[in-house]
Amino acid sequence: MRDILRIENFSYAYPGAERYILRDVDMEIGPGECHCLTGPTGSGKTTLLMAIKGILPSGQQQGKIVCEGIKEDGSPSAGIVLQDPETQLLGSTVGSDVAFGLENQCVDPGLMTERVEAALSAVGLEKPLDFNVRRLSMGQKYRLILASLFVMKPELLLIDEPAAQLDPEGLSHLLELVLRLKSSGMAFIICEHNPEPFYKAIDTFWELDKEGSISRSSPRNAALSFRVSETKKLPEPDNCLPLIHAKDLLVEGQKGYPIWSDVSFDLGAGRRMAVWGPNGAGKTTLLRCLTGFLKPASGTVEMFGRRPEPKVLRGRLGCLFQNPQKQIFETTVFEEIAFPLKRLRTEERLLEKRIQNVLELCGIEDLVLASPHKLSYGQKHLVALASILAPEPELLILDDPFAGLDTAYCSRISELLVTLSQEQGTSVLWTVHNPSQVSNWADIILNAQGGRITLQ
Amino acid sequence: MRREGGLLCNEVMSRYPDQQGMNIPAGLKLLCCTLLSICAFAARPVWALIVLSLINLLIVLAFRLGISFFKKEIRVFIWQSLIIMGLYSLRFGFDHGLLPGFLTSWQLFLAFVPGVMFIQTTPRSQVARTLSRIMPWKMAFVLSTSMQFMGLLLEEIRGIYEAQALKGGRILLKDIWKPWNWPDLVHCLIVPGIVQSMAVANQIALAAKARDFGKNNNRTYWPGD
Repeated sequence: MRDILRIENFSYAYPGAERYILRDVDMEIGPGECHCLTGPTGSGKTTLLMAIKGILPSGQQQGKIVCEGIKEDGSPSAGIVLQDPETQLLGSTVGSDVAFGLENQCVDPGLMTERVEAALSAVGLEKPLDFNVRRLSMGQKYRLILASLFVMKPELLLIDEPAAQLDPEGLSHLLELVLRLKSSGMAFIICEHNPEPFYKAIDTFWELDKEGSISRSSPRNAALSFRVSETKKLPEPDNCLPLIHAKDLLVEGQKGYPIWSDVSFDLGAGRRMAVWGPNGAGKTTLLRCLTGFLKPASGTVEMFGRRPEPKVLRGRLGCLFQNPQKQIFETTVFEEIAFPLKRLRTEERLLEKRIQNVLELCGIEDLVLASPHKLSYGQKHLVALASILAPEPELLILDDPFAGLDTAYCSRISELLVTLSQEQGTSVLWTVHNPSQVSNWADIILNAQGGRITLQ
Repeated sequence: MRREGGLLCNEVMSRYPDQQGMNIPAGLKLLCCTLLSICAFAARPVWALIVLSLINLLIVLAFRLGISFFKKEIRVFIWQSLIIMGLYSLRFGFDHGLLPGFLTSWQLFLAFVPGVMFIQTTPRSQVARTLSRIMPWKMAFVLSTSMQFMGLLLEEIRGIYEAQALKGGRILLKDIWKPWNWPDLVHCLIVPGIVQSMAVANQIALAAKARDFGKNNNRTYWPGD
């Protein structure tokens, strides 16, 4: 049986980098096979996918990548789904987005509609061609991206960390699709920290280590979704003032449609509350409402006994929004963590002590003088977390804090949060799109679905 | 519901969710919007500004852009007017600065609104196709894509703003009236905003390259839009 893809002793270093991110990678893939690539954050999984697709910047390179399905223009017959679906929607309507690749291949416009419809049908996206892409759910956007690649007739599809974007329902639809396309001979490489949802489709596991070397792995060795061991749940507090008090909240979208309504809950001191729900359920909107950046259409929300205002929440509330790396702006880790303390006019001696404490707590003491911009994805995440922990807030609000992190970092962060809540009495409220990440260590679980946020 | 193949361009356009009501070719629309913007710079007397405002209002109604469009644009106008009137008053004094400041803000607003309407009512592929008639197709793609992703970028910047404000950055509206807080604005918002814009641009470029953009010296266009 011929291989669709053969990688021989491939090594690669980014332009200007001294270190090779991939070293002597050997791999082969046949038609209809599904391979899973695991490995810690920053081990080079995305780089390998980009190398296969042929879209890496021209750095130092050794070895070769042989794609049997080479097209007439010399490019490999592989399609790639990158991590963020939002930046991959290059058309404003379903039809124009799927046709983008055909436009670039100079396909006759008269032949486009038929091919676009066939691709949409293959991925099971039943939407009109003139449907606005902004109105699709995250799962539908994912299917649209797959259709936009499928229309270019690839023999191999490369998918980068779908679980970071998709909720369980979206993942199960994707699995169904992978199984269907696989049976028609298409090969897949799926990069995933948590390959569990794809076990049924995966034939071979590969693992990239921190040095960029690849080895065959097994389902048992492949990273499992992280679980925090069951922790002691706190008893209901006596009649003390809740840190968050929300009553009959109604929040409306831009055109006056309710995002959710009748939301009421309290969060007491030292308690851990998880809000889970599918993509687009309004979890981030809830957090914006609680932090005073979004005014509810009706109902009341109080934080620390008063209406939330960003200015008065400083120091008492630590808030980590999605992809916290983009909030990093200082030149050293020390300065990054010191920033909120300086703004709170913390004394110099106390400032240094707090920074030392938080560095130890997060296990990043050795990075204190490093530039935060040059750290790995997981390390940046920890620096951003350390920065909001430094003022020792009474309440932490975290928006999907585990997205894109490998099992080791997820466990580290979750254990850190449990320690903070148990030892320092910090209350924690966090959102996730995967229910398995919340069950064991949350005192209260809110379920955000169908325009309601209810106690589970 | 699946559309049948071989649709007429007009049929599709009339069903494009953001373009109900009027069915004008993108090229003509671009020309009209450009003319309206140019007129805004030329219209200095109050009556001319009123006439131009009415024309813009009629177009907004014809495109059925909705009340949310009005709300958003009026908010921008109020903020912009307050800033410009404040700066004019500082420079020329309260008596001589207020009205000219307001008129300048009105002009700027009328110059800016037609562009927003054009972006909101024209599918990206149509914008690219229209622009490719007057500039190289790669540049047309970059320009039309930049317009499309403006919303995403503003969302990203909003996220940075909220996180930094809670971390202690003096960038809240109450803070930025004070010039001594402006370094924080640059440091905590503008610099990370630029870095994030470059990251988003890089991701879009990568996504386009992954779908063979730039492989050929020319490209065809999707007939649906």
